[in-house]
Amino acid sequence: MSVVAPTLSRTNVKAERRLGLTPRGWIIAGSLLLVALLEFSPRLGWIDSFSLPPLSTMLVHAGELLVDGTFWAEDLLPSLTAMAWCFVLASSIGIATGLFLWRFPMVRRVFDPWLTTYYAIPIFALYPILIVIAGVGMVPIVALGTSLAVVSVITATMDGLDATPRYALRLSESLQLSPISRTMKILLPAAVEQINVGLRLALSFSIIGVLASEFILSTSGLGHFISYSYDSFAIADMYGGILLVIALALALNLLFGALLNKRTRRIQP
Amino acid sequence: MGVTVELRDVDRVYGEVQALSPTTQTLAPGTFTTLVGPSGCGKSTLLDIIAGLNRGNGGEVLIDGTPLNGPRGATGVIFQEAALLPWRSVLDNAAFALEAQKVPKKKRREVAADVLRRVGLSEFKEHYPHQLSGGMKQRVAIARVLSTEPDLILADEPFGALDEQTRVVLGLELLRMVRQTGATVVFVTHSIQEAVLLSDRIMVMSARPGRIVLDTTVDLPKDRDPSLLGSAHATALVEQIWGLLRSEAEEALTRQGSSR
Repeated sequence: MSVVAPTLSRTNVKAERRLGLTPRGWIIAGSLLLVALLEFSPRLGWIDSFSLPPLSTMLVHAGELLVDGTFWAEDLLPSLTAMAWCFVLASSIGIATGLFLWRFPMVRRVFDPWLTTYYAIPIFALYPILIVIAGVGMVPIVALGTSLAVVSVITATMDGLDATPRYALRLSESLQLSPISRTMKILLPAAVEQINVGLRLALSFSIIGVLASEFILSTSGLGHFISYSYDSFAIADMYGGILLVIALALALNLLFGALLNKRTRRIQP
Repeated sequence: MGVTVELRDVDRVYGEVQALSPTTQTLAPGTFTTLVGPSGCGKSTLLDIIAGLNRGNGGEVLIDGTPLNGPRGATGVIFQEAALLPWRSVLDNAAFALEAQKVPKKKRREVAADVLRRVGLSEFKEHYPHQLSGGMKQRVAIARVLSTEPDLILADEPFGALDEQTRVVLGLELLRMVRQTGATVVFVTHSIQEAVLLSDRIMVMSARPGRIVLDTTVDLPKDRDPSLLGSAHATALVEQIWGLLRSEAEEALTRQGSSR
C-alpha cells in the first residue's frame, strides 16, 4: 500500500529515572522485595512459620494441587464452571437490560435509584434466602455471583449508549434501519468501549461472588477448599489455594484485557 | 434522474419559537438549490423536513407528487459531521447505506469500491476513519450517499468544518458527480461564495422566523470552476446576498441581545 497509516509505535523516549531506577525498575524491585519478605520472614523467625509458611513452600503446595486430579474435579472445575456461568449470565442479562432501559427512559427513571444504590447493599446478606429458595449447590452460587456482577454491566451499557454520537443516530434514522439493525450496527458498536469496562468488572465480580459464596456455604469449589483447609489447620494447602486464586484472577483478567485490546487497537487513534 | 420537490405551506414551531414560516416552493428535477442564511434561520430544519427526519407542524412535502411520510430510501443525506462509523473501515462505511438496504455483501462491496474510486479514495479502502483527514472523511460520506444512486441529495453544511481550499475542491467534485447522476440537490451552507459557485438556484433565508427573502437563479455555465467567481454576474450576486445577510445577521444579534 502506498499510503502509510499512522502506526502505533511505542514512544521511544527514555523513561525518567528516580533514585537510579526507572518506574518499571521500581515495580520490579518492589515485587522482589515482597517476594523476599514472604520467603525470609518465616525462615528468619520474624513471623511464626506455622501461620505464614515461606513462599517457596506455598508455591510447592500450589504446584502439587495443580497436578492433583481430585482437586481439579472437586474444587477447581466447579469454581471455574460457576464463574463462567456468572459471567455469561451477567453479561447477556446486563447488556439486554441496559438496552431496554436506555430505550425506555421512563422505565429507566423508575429503576435509576435502585441501580445507583445497588452496590451499597451487601448482597451476601441475601445468601440464606437464596439457600431457602434454591438449596445448596451450584444454583445459589451462580445466582449470587450473577446478581453481584450484572449491575455493573447494566450501568456500563447505558453509559455507553448515552454517549452514542448524535450523527450516528441521525444516520440510522435517515437510512431507515430496523430496530435490530440499529442495535447491532450502531448502538452496540458505539457503546462497546464502555460495555467492555462493565464486562471487566463483571468478570471480577463473578470471581469474587463465586469464591465468597463457596466460603460461606458449599461442599466443593476453590473457596470451600481454602476455608476447609483453614478450619482443619492445613495451612500450606490454604496458602496454596490462595495463591491459585490470585493467579487465576490475574490470568483471567489479563486474558480478557488482551482480547478486548486486540479489537479496540484497530479502530482507535 | 432527479425528482421534483414541492413544499406546500411547510412550517415548524419549537415550543413558542416559530423556526420556519410557512414556505411554499417547487424545486425542479436535477437542479442544485442552495439555502443560505444566518445561524438559526431554519435552513437545517427545512432540510430535515425534506429528508423526512423532522415533521413540519403544517403543510406537506411532495416528492414527484407523492406526499412524504418519513425518510425515503432514494434520498441521500450528507451531514455536517461526516457521520462515519469509527469501527468500520472506509470500504464498509461507504457500503453502509447499501447494507441498510440489505444488498448482499459481495455486491455492496463492489459498488462501494467503485464509488470510492470515483471520489479518489481507492487506496484507503482498508483504512479507518481516524486515519483520514476531514476532507477525506467527507469524501467517504459522499461515496456512501452516491452508492445508492439517490434521486434526491440533501447536504447540511457538509464542508462547514473544512478549510476554504478543500471546501471549494470538494464542492466542485460533488457538483460534477451529481450532475452525472442527475439527482436533485438541496445544499445548506454559510458560505455565500460556495453557494454562488455551486448552485443553479439560491434561496436566502431570514433570521427567525425563517422565511425565504430572496430566490434567485445563478446564470453561470453548467461546468463550474473557481474562476467563474470573478465574473460580473457572480460578484454582483455575492454582493446582493451579502447585503441581505448582513442586515439579517445584525437583526438576529440585536434580537438575541434584547431577549436576555
